[in-house]
Amino acid sequence: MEDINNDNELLIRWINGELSEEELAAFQKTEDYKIYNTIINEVDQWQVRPLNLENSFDELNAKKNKKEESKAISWYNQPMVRWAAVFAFIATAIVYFVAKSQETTVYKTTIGESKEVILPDNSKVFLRPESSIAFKRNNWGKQKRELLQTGTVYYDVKKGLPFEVNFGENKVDVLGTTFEITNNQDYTSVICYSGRVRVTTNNSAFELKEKEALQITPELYEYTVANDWSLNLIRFEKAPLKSVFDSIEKTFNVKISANSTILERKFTGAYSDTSLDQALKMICVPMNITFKVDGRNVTLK
Amino acid sequence: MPEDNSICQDTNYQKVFESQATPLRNFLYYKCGDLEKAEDLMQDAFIKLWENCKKVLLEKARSFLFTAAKRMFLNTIEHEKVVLSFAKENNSSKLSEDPQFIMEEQEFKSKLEISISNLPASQREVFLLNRIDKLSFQEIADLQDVSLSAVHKKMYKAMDKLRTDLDILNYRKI
Repeated sequence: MEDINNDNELLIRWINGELSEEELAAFQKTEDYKIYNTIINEVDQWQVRPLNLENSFDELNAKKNKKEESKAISWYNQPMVRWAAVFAFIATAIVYFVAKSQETTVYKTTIGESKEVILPDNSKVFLRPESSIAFKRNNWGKQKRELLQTGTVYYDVKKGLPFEVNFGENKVDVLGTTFEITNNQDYTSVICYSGRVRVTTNNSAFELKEKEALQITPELYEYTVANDWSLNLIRFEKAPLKSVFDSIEKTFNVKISANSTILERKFTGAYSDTSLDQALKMICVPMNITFKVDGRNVTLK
Repeated sequence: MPEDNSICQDTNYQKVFESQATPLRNFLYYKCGDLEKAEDLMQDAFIKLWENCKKVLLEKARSFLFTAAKRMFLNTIEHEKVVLSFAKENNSSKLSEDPQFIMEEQEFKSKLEISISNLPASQREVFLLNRIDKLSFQEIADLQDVSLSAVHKKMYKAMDKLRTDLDILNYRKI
């Protein structure tokens, strides 16, 4: 018992940089030290996505003013004015609700932009660059949860009513799972990361379990993935290089030029979205392609 | 003049924002795992500060903000699972350009993010506030309103869990 307490105390003192030279040397010889050190070295390099102070402060002021305005309308409480207001309100309300029932909510990202969105049922979606989702707010959660998507979107769906995603001519039905759908011109795939997902294409239906995936374009076939979803890694399985480079263009806002023999080759692997250089290396090195970056333009050989 | 130090003065209010907005937003992010929600709540806490600017001393602004934010957070709907992700400063001094290595590094980061997200909330808070926001354990104790030894306990429990998680993963690879 005492040993455990001493170990714990030692750990805290190590973190605070309070160990003597001998204590440190002894600690560094232990098995656990290696892992603790790796963890600390890694995490110490992290930061939360930086907050844009100017924008946030502007938003804050807007919220503040809105609140102050709504407090100042005391003269509306006069009886005559109140009745007139009530009638006007009913008239506009009717128009408003009729309009609202057709209302479609859309979230989208531009080149180089990623976004996380919380849906009305608390499910989470993560949009990669140049992607979008759309759904009818009024219909959501009545009998099912339904939406449309383009681009590449990752879903973390809460258990509940049937959840359906439509992409192109395909759709996916789920009940409480995590999965990613990629829907681009030349590359369409669904990867199930946990739970179960049912994919319906033109002619057929597939049920994917955890770590199972389906490519729909260019070729319809099933495969499995080894790893969990990663925020920073965009994966491909036998994807035409054209779609891989399209994806890099959308993520980093660059223009890539290559001849058609290169673009037709198939790639299996991933690239990291943390830097253009890393991303290009991760694709080109295994494929024996050389690249040259010149400002916003990239040429491949 | 006592008026000079009032938070109701725009310049003072803005200064408080500049120094506390990010730490407060991060604090809330560790609780809910949602950047937008964290920023929203942070702004709401600042509005509360503005509404009470006559009653709060400049030096007490930080503790007012964090207390208000904690209370507001408790009133929100919590998601079952918190999923945190972080940005990494790019190491231009990286010698290895091997794509395989880069991928392994990325995988390790992801796994660590998941492990951290899975820690019990208050352990996670202590760990991240200490490593990412560089708060001392005493500062964290004041923030969480617990004793220093309670904070130490949460920290080594958190470290222990992370070590165990990553240990398991290493053996599985082999």
